[in-house]
Amino acid sequence: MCSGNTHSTTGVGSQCIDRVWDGAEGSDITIVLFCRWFGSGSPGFFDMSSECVTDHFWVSGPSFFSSTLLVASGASISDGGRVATSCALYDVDGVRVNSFEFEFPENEVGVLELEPFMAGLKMQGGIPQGHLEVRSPVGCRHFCRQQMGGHVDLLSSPRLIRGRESSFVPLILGARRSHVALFVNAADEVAQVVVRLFYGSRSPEWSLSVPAKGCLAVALEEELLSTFNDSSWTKGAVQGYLRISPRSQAQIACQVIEQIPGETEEQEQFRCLVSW
Amino acid sequence: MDAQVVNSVRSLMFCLSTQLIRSRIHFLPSAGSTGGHYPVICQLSIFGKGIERRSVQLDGGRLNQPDGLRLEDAFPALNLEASGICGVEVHLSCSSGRVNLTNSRVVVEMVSPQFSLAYSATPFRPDRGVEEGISLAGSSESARPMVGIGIRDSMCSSSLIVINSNQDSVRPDLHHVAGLADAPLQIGTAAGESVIEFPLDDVIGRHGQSRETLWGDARIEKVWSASLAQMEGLACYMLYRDPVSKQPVSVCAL
Repeated sequence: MCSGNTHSTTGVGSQCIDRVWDGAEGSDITIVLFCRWFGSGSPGFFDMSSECVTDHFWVSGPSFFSSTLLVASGASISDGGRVATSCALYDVDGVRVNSFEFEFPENEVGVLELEPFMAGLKMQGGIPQGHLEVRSPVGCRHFCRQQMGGHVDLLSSPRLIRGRESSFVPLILGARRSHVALFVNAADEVAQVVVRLFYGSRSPEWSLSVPAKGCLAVALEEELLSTFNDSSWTKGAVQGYLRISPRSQAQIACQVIEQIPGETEEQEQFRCLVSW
Repeated sequence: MDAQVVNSVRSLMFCLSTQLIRSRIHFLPSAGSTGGHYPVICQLSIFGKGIERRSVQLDGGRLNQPDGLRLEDAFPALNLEASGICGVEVHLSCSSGRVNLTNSRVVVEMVSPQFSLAYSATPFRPDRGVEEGISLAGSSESARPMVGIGIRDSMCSSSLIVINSNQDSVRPDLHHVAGLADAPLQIGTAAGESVIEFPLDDVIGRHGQSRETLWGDARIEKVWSASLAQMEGLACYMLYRDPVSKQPVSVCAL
């Protein structure tokens, strides 16, 4: 079993338990927060049992972003039982800054606001961000509620793209739009990722490196397209496709945040696209 | 049983059709780790209330090459005929018998002056009539449970979209939690070749968990189906709208 006793499934011993929190008001959630566990070379938090489903999200904290994990079990995991979900939070460099497990009644939705667990995350581009690895029994699905300013998206788990596979994200290029591509490395080794942008008759390609268990945020226009000798995409709105192809044994999830400026800050639009 | 190669697959999705909303369908024919650029044929069909089912075939598609089109370009009469939700079926096929297309993806994008969203369609399934006995081991989504989350708060209201591409009416087998027990979701019957939107606000208001969150009070409810995955020609999505403007903000496939 991948769940059950909250002390038994992890590489950290019961002596590491920091505190137990019985959840927010109105909830029936029990959270066991383990001690902070530094070092990307530490023993694996998950046993990767075949009876579990594991997903990987890019998450971010205040003030502009807010990430909330939602877990729902399928129809028949157990009869009136509880679901145990394990989480590990890594910073951009892949250093584990928090590990925790929470339980909720199987007939409810597990809701966990991640902000209280983000204290150790490093800032990149002025935003505290990291990689959330989440594991639940088979039959569960994980969702992430991403709030960006006044905009909210409910995202199902990004598809994990493995070596020799590829995935794509459609996006619209233009002078008034900007995109940040977010890559999460699910593996224990540094991942090499080939990113190819198709637009018009052009298809520039870049090779990126994502730290083991870490994540990488890349401003598409500023950091990638600016290195390519073409500015045709700035004239009007150009349909493009970002193709993500990890090399060798890498396992990557990708998310793209698109910003469409408005006349005022309140009119700015955001949308979240994941590797589907 | 050996996994059978599936070189003909389908997926169902929906789009909103009004004078102001423009929809784009993006697709990536993929065979997992199989490389190469085999030719792939994409057939796009639309149907729905007041919309006669019609199809167009798009040639020139290639394996591992993303492509897309504006729905209004493929079906110029769409906006003249109907206003509301319409169903879209994407059928991908490859002449090579060695290419398994179940890892292909479709993304639907809807854009208006007020909002912009994109969502992933349900995973591709083998073509009708060839599904029996086929192992979907090559598809990463094959074991995904059919479960969605309904939310009602200051930023979201939820509704369920049911797409029935079959000729016959279907009563979807969907459940939620009422009290502590499972209860069938009373959404009635989906007519043949139709798309229905079933608002969940009342159900969530009566039965959803009440939560105090950092973004305010919220009610949350899960909706699932144990049998929908086995039903041909049927797909469900959760559609989240802004509770005030009613503009769509997000979509998740069950």
